[in-house]
Amino acid sequence: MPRAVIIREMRGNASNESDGEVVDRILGGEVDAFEYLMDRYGEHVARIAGRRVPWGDAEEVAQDIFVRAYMSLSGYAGKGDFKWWLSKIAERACHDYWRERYKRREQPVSALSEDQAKRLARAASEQAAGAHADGTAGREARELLAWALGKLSSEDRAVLELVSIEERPVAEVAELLGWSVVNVKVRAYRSRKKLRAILERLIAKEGEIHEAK
Amino acid sequence: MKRNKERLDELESRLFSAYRSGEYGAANPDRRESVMREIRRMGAVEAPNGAQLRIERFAWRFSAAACLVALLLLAYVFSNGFVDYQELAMRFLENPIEFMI
Repeated sequence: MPRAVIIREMRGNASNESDGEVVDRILGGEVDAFEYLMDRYGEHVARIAGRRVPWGDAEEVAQDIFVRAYMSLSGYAGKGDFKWWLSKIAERACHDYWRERYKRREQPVSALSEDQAKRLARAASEQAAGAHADGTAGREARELLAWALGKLSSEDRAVLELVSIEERPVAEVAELLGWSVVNVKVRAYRSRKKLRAILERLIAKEGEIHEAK
Repeated sequence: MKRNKERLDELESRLFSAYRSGEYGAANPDRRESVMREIRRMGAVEAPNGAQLRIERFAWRFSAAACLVALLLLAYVFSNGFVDYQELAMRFLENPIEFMI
Protein backbone atom coordinates (compact mmCIF):
# COMPACT_ATOMS: atom_id res chain seq x y z
CA MET A 1 0.00 0.00 0.00
CA PRO A 2 1.48 3.44 -0.88
CA ARG A 3 2.79 5.43 2.08
CA ALA A 4 0.46 8.38 1.35
CA VAL A 5 -2.56 6.08 1.70
CA ILE A 6 -1.22 4.62 4.93
CA ILE A 7 -0.69 8.14 6.32
CA ARG A 8 -4.19 9.19 5.22
CA GLU A 9 -5.70 6.18 6.98
CA MET A 10 -3.62 6.89 10.01
CA ARG A 11 -4.80 10.50 10.07
CA GLY A 12 -8.36 9.28 9.78
CA ASN A 13 -7.88 7.14 12.89
CA ALA A 14 -6.05 9.89 14.68
CA SER A 15 -8.85 12.44 14.17
CA ASN A 16 -10.84 10.66 16.88
CA GLU A 17 -7.94 10.22 19.20
CA SER A 18 -6.83 12.49 21.98
CA ASP A 19 -3.36 14.04 21.80
CA GLY A 20 -2.19 11.69 24.54
CA GLU A 21 -3.27 8.66 22.53
CA VAL A 22 -1.47 9.92 19.43
CA VAL A 23 1.65 10.53 21.52
CA ASP A 24 1.42 6.98 22.88
CA ARG A 25 1.31 5.65 19.32
CA ILE A 26 4.38 7.68 18.37
CA LEU A 27 6.21 6.45 21.45
CA GLY A 28 5.14 2.96 20.46
CA GLY A 29 7.12 3.35 17.24
CA GLU A 30 4.56 4.87 14.81
CA VAL A 31 6.72 7.83 13.86
CA ASP A 32 4.36 8.89 11.04
CA ALA A 33 1.58 9.61 13.55
CA PHE A 34 3.54 12.74 14.45
CA GLU A 35 2.29 14.26 11.21
CA TYR A 36 -1.17 14.32 12.74
CA LEU A 37 0.07 16.47 15.62
CA MET A 38 1.69 18.78 13.08
CA ASP A 39 -1.63 19.06 11.23
CA ARG A 40 -3.41 19.90 14.44
CA TYR A 41 -0.92 22.37 15.85
CA GLY A 42 0.93 23.63 12.77
CA GLU A 43 -0.95 26.92 12.70
CA HIS A 44 -0.53 27.46 16.43
CA VAL A 45 3.24 26.96 16.24
CA ALA A 46 3.51 29.07 13.07
CA ARG A 47 1.71 31.92 14.84
CA ILE A 48 4.05 31.82 17.84
CA ALA A 49 7.16 31.69 15.65
CA GLY A 50 5.74 34.40 13.36
CA ARG A 51 5.23 36.75 16.29
CA ARG A 52 8.53 36.14 17.99
CA VAL A 53 11.07 35.99 15.17
CA PRO A 54 11.54 37.83 11.85
CA TRP A 55 9.29 36.37 9.18
CA GLY A 56 12.25 35.19 7.09
CA ASP A 57 13.30 32.84 9.88
CA ALA A 58 9.87 31.99 11.29
CA GLU A 59 9.38 28.86 9.19
CA GLU A 60 12.75 27.48 10.14
CA VAL A 61 12.08 28.14 13.82
CA ALA A 62 8.64 26.48 13.51
CA GLN A 63 10.35 23.45 12.02
CA ASP A 64 12.87 23.43 14.86
CA ILE A 65 10.01 23.61 17.39
CA PHE A 66 8.42 20.46 16.00
CA VAL A 67 11.72 18.60 15.93
CA ARG A 68 12.35 19.61 19.54
CA ALA A 69 8.85 18.53 20.48
CA TYR A 70 9.41 15.16 18.85
CA MET A 71 12.68 14.66 20.69
CA SER A 72 11.03 15.58 24.02
CA LEU A 73 7.87 13.53 23.52
CA SER A 74 8.84 11.02 26.19
CA GLY A 75 8.80 13.92 28.66
CA TYR A 76 5.17 14.71 27.81
CA ALA A 77 3.86 11.26 28.72
CA GLY A 78 0.23 12.35 28.61
CA LYS A 79 0.68 14.96 31.34
CA GLY A 80 -1.68 17.91 30.87
CA ASP A 81 -2.64 19.87 27.80
CA PHE A 82 -0.49 19.03 24.77
CA LYS A 83 -1.02 22.48 23.22
CA TRP A 84 0.28 24.16 26.36
CA TRP A 85 3.23 21.75 26.51
CA LEU A 86 4.03 22.55 22.87
CA SER A 87 3.67 26.30 23.53
CA LYS A 88 6.35 26.07 26.21
CA ILE A 89 8.71 24.39 23.77
CA ALA A 90 7.87 27.02 21.14
CA GLU A 91 8.46 30.01 23.44
CA ARG A 92 11.77 28.60 24.63
CA ALA A 93 12.87 27.82 21.07
CA CYS A 94 12.16 31.43 20.06
CA HIS A 95 14.05 32.67 23.08
CA ASP A 96 16.99 30.44 22.10
CA TYR A 97 16.80 31.81 18.57
CA TRP A 98 17.33 35.37 19.83
CA ARG A 99 20.01 34.31 22.28
CA GLU A 100 21.96 32.69 19.44
CA ARG A 101 21.42 35.63 17.17
CA TYR A 102 22.58 38.18 19.75
CA LYS A 103 25.59 36.01 20.49
CA ARG A 104 26.63 35.90 16.84
CA ARG A 105 25.83 39.53 16.05
CA GLU A 106 26.66 38.77 12.42
CA GLN A 107 23.66 40.52 11.01
CA PRO A 108 21.71 43.45 12.42
CA VAL A 109 18.65 42.41 14.41
CA SER A 110 16.50 44.91 12.52
CA ALA A 111 16.74 46.01 8.91
CA LEU A 112 15.84 49.57 9.95
CA SER A 113 18.50 52.25 10.26
CA GLU A 114 18.44 54.78 13.10
CA ASP A 115 17.18 57.47 10.72
CA GLN A 116 14.37 55.30 9.42
CA ALA A 117 13.41 54.45 13.01
CA LYS A 118 13.23 58.18 13.83
CA ARG A 119 11.04 58.82 10.82
CA LEU A 120 8.72 55.96 11.75
CA ALA A 121 8.56 57.14 15.35
CA ARG A 122 7.49 60.56 14.14
CA ALA A 123 4.91 59.10 11.79
CA ALA A 124 3.52 56.78 14.46
CA SER A 125 3.31 59.46 17.14
CA GLU A 126 1.62 61.91 14.76
CA GLN A 127 -1.18 59.56 13.77
CA ALA A 128 -4.56 60.59 15.01
CA ALA A 129 -5.32 59.12 18.39
CA GLY A 130 -7.44 55.99 18.10
CA ALA A 131 -6.34 55.37 14.52
CA HIS A 132 -6.30 51.70 13.60
CA ALA A 133 -2.88 50.16 13.39
CA ASP A 134 -3.51 48.35 10.13
CA GLY A 135 -2.17 48.61 6.58
CA THR A 136 1.07 50.50 6.03
CA ALA A 137 0.87 52.32 9.36
CA GLY A 138 0.51 49.02 11.22
CA ARG A 139 3.40 47.47 9.33
CA GLU A 140 5.62 50.47 10.00
CA ALA A 141 4.71 50.43 13.67
CA ARG A 142 5.62 46.75 13.87
CA GLU A 143 8.94 47.47 12.13
CA LEU A 144 9.68 50.22 14.60
CA LEU A 145 8.82 47.98 17.54
CA ALA A 146 11.05 45.22 16.12
CA TRP A 147 13.86 47.76 15.82
CA ALA A 148 13.41 48.86 19.45
CA LEU A 149 13.13 45.26 20.69
CA GLY A 150 16.37 44.53 18.88
CA LYS A 151 18.11 46.86 21.30
CA LEU A 152 17.10 44.70 24.27
CA SER A 153 18.60 41.45 25.48
CA SER A 154 16.90 38.19 24.46
CA GLU A 155 15.52 37.75 28.01
CA ASP A 156 14.13 41.28 28.15
CA ARG A 157 12.64 40.87 24.73
CA ALA A 158 10.90 37.58 25.60
CA VAL A 159 9.38 38.84 28.82
CA LEU A 160 8.35 42.20 27.35
CA GLU A 161 6.51 40.57 24.45
CA LEU A 162 4.66 38.15 26.69
CA VAL A 163 3.86 40.34 29.70
CA SER A 164 3.63 43.93 28.48
CA ILE A 165 2.58 43.52 24.87
CA GLU A 166 0.46 40.37 24.92
CA GLU A 167 -0.65 41.08 28.50
CA ARG A 168 -0.40 37.50 29.66
CA PRO A 169 -0.55 36.69 33.38
CA VAL A 170 2.85 36.67 35.07
CA ALA A 171 2.38 33.12 36.41
CA GLU A 172 1.65 31.86 32.90
CA VAL A 173 4.74 33.57 31.48
CA ALA A 174 6.86 32.16 34.30
CA GLU A 175 5.75 28.67 33.36
CA LEU A 176 6.19 29.27 29.65
CA LEU A 177 9.75 30.49 30.03
CA GLY A 178 10.66 28.27 32.96
CA TRP A 179 11.53 31.25 35.17
CA SER A 180 10.38 32.17 38.68
CA VAL A 181 7.40 34.50 39.07
CA VAL A 182 9.58 37.07 40.85
CA ASN A 183 12.13 36.99 38.04
CA VAL A 184 9.41 37.55 35.45
CA LYS A 185 7.95 40.48 37.40
CA VAL A 186 11.32 42.17 37.88
CA ARG A 187 12.40 41.62 34.29
CA ALA A 188 9.06 42.78 32.91
CA TYR A 189 9.34 46.02 34.83
CA ARG A 190 12.96 46.64 33.83
CA SER A 191 12.51 45.70 30.18
CA ARG A 192 9.52 48.02 29.82
CA LYS A 193 11.55 50.82 31.31
CA LYS A 194 14.39 50.11 28.87
CA LEU A 195 12.02 50.09 25.91
CA ARG A 196 10.54 53.40 26.97
CA ALA A 197 14.03 54.88 27.34
CA ILE A 198 14.87 53.76 23.77
CA LEU A 199 11.68 55.28 22.37
CA GLU A 200 12.14 58.42 24.43
CA ARG A 201 15.64 58.96 23.02
CA LEU A 202 14.25 58.42 19.55
CA ILE A 203 11.50 60.99 20.05
CA ALA A 204 13.92 63.51 21.59
CA LYS A 205 16.44 63.16 18.73
CA GLU A 206 13.72 63.35 16.14
CA GLY A 207 12.32 66.46 17.86
CA GLU A 208 15.73 68.16 17.75
CA ILE A 209 16.06 67.47 14.02
CA HIS A 210 12.53 68.72 13.39
CA GLU A 211 13.13 71.96 15.32
CA ALA A 212 16.47 72.57 13.55
CA LYS A 213 14.64 72.44 10.22
CA MET B 1 3.50 70.77 21.40
CA LYS B 2 2.66 67.66 23.33
CA ARG B 3 4.76 66.86 26.28
CA ASN B 4 7.31 64.12 25.69
CA LYS B 5 5.75 61.73 28.19
CA GLU B 6 2.35 61.90 26.53
CA ARG B 7 3.93 61.36 23.13
CA LEU B 8 5.86 58.44 24.51
CA ASP B 9 2.75 56.85 26.04
CA GLU B 10 0.87 57.22 22.79
CA LEU B 11 3.70 55.88 20.71
CA GLU B 12 4.12 52.90 23.01
CA SER B 13 0.44 52.01 23.00
CA ARG B 14 0.32 52.41 19.21
CA LEU B 15 3.28 50.08 18.77
CA PHE B 16 1.82 47.50 21.14
CA SER B 17 -1.58 47.52 19.45
CA ALA B 18 0.07 47.21 16.03
CA TYR B 19 1.94 44.17 17.31
CA ARG B 20 -1.28 42.61 18.63
CA SER B 21 -3.24 43.25 15.45
CA GLY B 22 -0.56 41.85 13.12
CA GLU B 23 -1.15 38.62 11.24
CA TYR B 24 1.60 36.17 11.81
CA GLY B 25 2.68 33.16 9.81
CA ALA B 26 0.83 30.19 8.44
CA ALA B 27 1.98 26.58 8.49
CA ASN B 28 3.93 25.67 5.39
CA PRO B 29 3.25 22.13 4.04
CA ASP B 30 6.77 21.91 2.58
CA ARG B 31 8.21 22.50 6.01
CA ARG B 32 5.98 19.76 7.41
CA GLU B 33 7.48 17.31 4.96
CA SER B 34 10.92 18.49 5.96
CA VAL B 35 10.17 17.90 9.66
CA MET B 36 8.80 14.44 8.92
CA ARG B 37 11.92 13.58 6.91
CA GLU B 38 14.08 14.69 9.79
CA ILE B 39 12.23 12.76 12.46
CA ARG B 40 12.12 9.63 10.29
CA ARG B 41 15.85 9.94 9.93
CA MET B 42 16.14 10.23 13.72
CA GLY B 43 14.04 7.11 14.19
CA ALA B 44 11.56 6.20 16.89
CA VAL B 45 11.75 8.24 20.04
CA GLU B 46 12.49 6.30 23.20
CA ALA B 47 9.43 5.70 25.32
CA PRO B 48 9.85 6.47 29.02
CA ASN B 49 11.05 3.52 31.04
CA GLY B 50 7.95 1.73 32.37
CA ALA B 51 9.52 0.58 35.66
CA GLN B 52 10.87 4.04 36.39
CA LEU B 53 7.47 5.57 35.69
CA ARG B 54 5.75 3.07 38.01
CA ILE B 55 8.23 3.82 40.80
CA GLU B 56 7.72 7.56 40.32
CA ARG B 57 3.94 7.21 40.40
CA PHE B 58 4.17 4.99 43.48
CA ALA B 59 6.40 7.51 45.27
CA TRP B 60 4.15 10.42 44.35
CA ARG B 61 1.15 8.57 45.75
CA PHE B 62 2.71 8.81 49.19
CA SER B 63 3.96 12.36 48.86
CA ALA B 64 0.98 13.89 50.65
CA ALA B 65 1.26 11.44 53.53
CA ALA B 66 5.04 12.04 53.74
CA CYS B 67 4.49 15.80 53.93
CA LEU B 68 1.92 15.32 56.66
CA VAL B 69 4.31 13.16 58.71
CA ALA B 70 7.09 15.74 58.25
CA LEU B 71 4.78 18.50 59.47
CA LEU B 72 3.69 16.45 62.49
CA LEU B 73 7.32 15.72 63.38
CA LEU B 74 8.16 19.38 63.04
CA ALA B 75 5.26 20.31 65.31
CA TYR B 76 6.37 17.65 67.83
CA VAL B 77 9.95 18.93 67.84
CA PHE B 78 8.83 22.51 68.28
CA SER B 79 6.39 21.68 71.07
CA ASN B 80 8.94 19.56 72.99
CA GLY B 81 11.90 21.71 72.15
CA PHE B 82 15.45 20.81 71.24
CA VAL B 83 16.58 21.13 74.85
CA ASP B 84 16.70 17.36 75.63
CA TYR B 85 19.03 16.67 72.73
CA GLN B 86 21.17 19.65 73.54
CA GLU B 87 21.55 18.57 77.17
CA LEU B 88 22.32 15.02 76.07
CA ALA B 89 25.10 16.29 73.83
CA MET B 90 26.49 18.50 76.62
CA ARG B 91 26.60 15.60 79.11
CA PHE B 92 28.33 13.45 76.52
CA LEU B 93 30.96 16.09 75.83
CA GLU B 94 31.56 16.75 79.55
CA ASN B 95 32.25 13.15 80.45
CA PRO B 96 32.02 10.68 77.60
CA ILE B 97 33.17 7.62 79.58
CA GLU B 98 30.64 8.03 82.38
CA PHE B 99 27.97 8.83 79.84
CA MET B 100 28.61 5.61 77.94
CA ILE B 101 28.48 3.50 81.14
